[in-house]
Amino acid sequence: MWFIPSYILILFLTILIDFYAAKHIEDSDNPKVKKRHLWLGIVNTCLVLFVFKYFNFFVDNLNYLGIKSIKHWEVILPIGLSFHVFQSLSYVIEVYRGSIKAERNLLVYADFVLMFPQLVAGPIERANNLLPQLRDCNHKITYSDFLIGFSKFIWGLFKKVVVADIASNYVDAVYNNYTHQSGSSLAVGTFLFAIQIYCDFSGYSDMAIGVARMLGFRFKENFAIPYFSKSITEFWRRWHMSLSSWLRDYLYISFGGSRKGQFKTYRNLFLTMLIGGLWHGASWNFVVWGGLNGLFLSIEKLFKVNNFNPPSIIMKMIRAAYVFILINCTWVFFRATSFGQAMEILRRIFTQFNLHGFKILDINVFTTTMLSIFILFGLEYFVFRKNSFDGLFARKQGVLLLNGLNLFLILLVLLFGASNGAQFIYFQF
Amino acid sequence: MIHILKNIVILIFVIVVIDISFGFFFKRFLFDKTISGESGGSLNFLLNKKQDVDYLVFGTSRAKHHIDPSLLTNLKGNGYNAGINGVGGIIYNTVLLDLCIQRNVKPNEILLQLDVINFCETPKNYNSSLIFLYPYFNESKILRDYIQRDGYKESFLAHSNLYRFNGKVLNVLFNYVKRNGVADNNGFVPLVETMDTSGQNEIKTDYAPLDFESINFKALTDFYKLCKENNIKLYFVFTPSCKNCMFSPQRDMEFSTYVTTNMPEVSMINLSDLKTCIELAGFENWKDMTHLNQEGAAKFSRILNDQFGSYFLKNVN
Repeated sequence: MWFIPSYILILFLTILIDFYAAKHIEDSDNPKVKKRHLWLGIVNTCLVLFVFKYFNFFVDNLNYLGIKSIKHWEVILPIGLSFHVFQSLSYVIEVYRGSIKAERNLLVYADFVLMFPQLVAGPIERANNLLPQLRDCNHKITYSDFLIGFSKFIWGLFKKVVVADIASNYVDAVYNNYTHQSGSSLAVGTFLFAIQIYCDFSGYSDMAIGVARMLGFRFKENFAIPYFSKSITEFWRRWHMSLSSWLRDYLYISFGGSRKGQFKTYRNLFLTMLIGGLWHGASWNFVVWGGLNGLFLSIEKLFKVNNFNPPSIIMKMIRAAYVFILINCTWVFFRATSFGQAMEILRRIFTQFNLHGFKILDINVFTTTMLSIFILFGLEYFVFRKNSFDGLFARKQGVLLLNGLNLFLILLVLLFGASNGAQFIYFQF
Repeated sequence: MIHILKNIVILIFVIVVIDISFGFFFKRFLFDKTISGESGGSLNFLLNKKQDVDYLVFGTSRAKHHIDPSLLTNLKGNGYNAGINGVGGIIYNTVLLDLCIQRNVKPNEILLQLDVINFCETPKNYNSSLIFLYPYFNESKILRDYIQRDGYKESFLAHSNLYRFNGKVLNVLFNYVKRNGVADNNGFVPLVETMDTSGQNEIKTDYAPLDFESINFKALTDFYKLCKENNIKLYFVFTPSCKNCMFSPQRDMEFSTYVTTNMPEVSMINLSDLKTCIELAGFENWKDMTHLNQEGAAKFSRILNDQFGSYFLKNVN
């Protein structure tokens, strides 16, 4: 990670422009002026995103097509750019739509964009949730907020250092050497990547939400046990919820949503997910990943999969397994470093799958990984599926319960956590 | 606020109590009884059962899988191979030697296997190699010093008994269960597979210059001093790599000059150039680009033994 002081100036400049754009949108009665300032805010934030994140991708494609021969711009992507750009965009658009009032205090608005727990990797907070909390002059830190926030933080820490970082050992070993792996090893590697990315990203979100809560701020939840979903649609309602709802509110609905006929609904879904994929990174792999998800969502809508509620637990489990396998197939594109690599990995999984070819690599690491996944899903299914941390706190022995849980998780972190863990995957976005 | 502070204090107190109890019971009744495995068991075996050893082999996996003490007949007495997979860099070996001396494992000779290219890069953090030695935190001052140099986070965490067994608990339990079935051995572990030639790595030639100020050279000097203070004859042994993929003639020469100048008592047996062990040129001797298989290790150990024979002959004459 690098620290480049000038990047802070870019951040401050975008904050200033968006702050004044929103103020002018609200102050003006002239629709043209309002629209002009809306576009000022949108172009300002999108331009920064394009220059830092997509310029080289754009150049690569132009060069590939032979249209132009432009040199790469050696630039480091400012950390968390995609997150605070989306946060700023939603603010300007909501002010334009009239659903929130423009913030009149620059410091409060800057605090909203720069709120430290979620600055680098989300959740993408909405102004209508966070701004009123920042404006509140009687802000207090209470014991319940502290304990609930601390518990959430420790839960996120467990997910990151015990599950994600340990699973990454196997994933990296298999994916970095995929030409020498059997289909079964690659399938297990992909399964573990699904767990890794979930625990890495939701772990960060939980820690961010936890730290904010300890300080008395309430962020929206970002994950809701997504791997227990019974359809892809449900999965996207539970996975990276702050991004999914952002894409729905500002892209899908802006494209027309489901109001303009069946075909256009599918097209809008597909396009939204395609752009959502591109948001993750400037690479065709992410576009394919987004496109595949868009395709699955459209197919589910076409066959009205969500209207069917599985009657028995067996059916529910089969549905959850089907969703998990489909999602795993899409994760191959997310993890692979090129489209060719992703296709080769999928080919090996589907054509060279045999249990004899499966390699554990390191029995100690593998056993620890499996044990940590067992604890993760055990707690998620039996505790967090029905109770939030607030719910646990409100129970009769809530304080004791949360402290006991924290103690158990801290011991697991000390005993099994990766001592030299990697940085968060979503920091690159 | 008082309620919050009270909660934090109680939580810390309970963690400390658990930490101390765990450190006492787990180490004494489980860990100390294991004598196999790379979570400390094989170290316990060396530290508790090899007080009578005449010579020791130190180094990385390339020592563990290349040097068979039973074939080193020109070295007098019994030997033990204390090489370790994955982590056996010079810093690890220096701490291990200190632990051996603390536990009265004092051989007459040490064969320290080294790869010159490992001295071309300064490790940014090295706790991943030292973490294997954390259970012995209280026994070695050198270990505590190196951990302290690695930063405040590591030196803070290393005070926790729980953290000292980080990533080792399951292995220790497994090795505890099978502790009675471990036979006496000389530490050498042969690799049985033969390399798949399609998996050749690209051969790197542009190695960075040797960094004589690095922590690796400091550890090498510490290792040398420990040997000197305890009257241990030290040999540096350099083993070859397939297609010379780890060999850099220039860096080798610079390293030799450094050792001759600064460590005059050290004898070097340099077989890092594959040309010096031509019998190992074929792929059939290798498990991968950097490790000999069983067949190759036997050939290499005999070559090394011959080198010792010539060395002793030359010194006697």
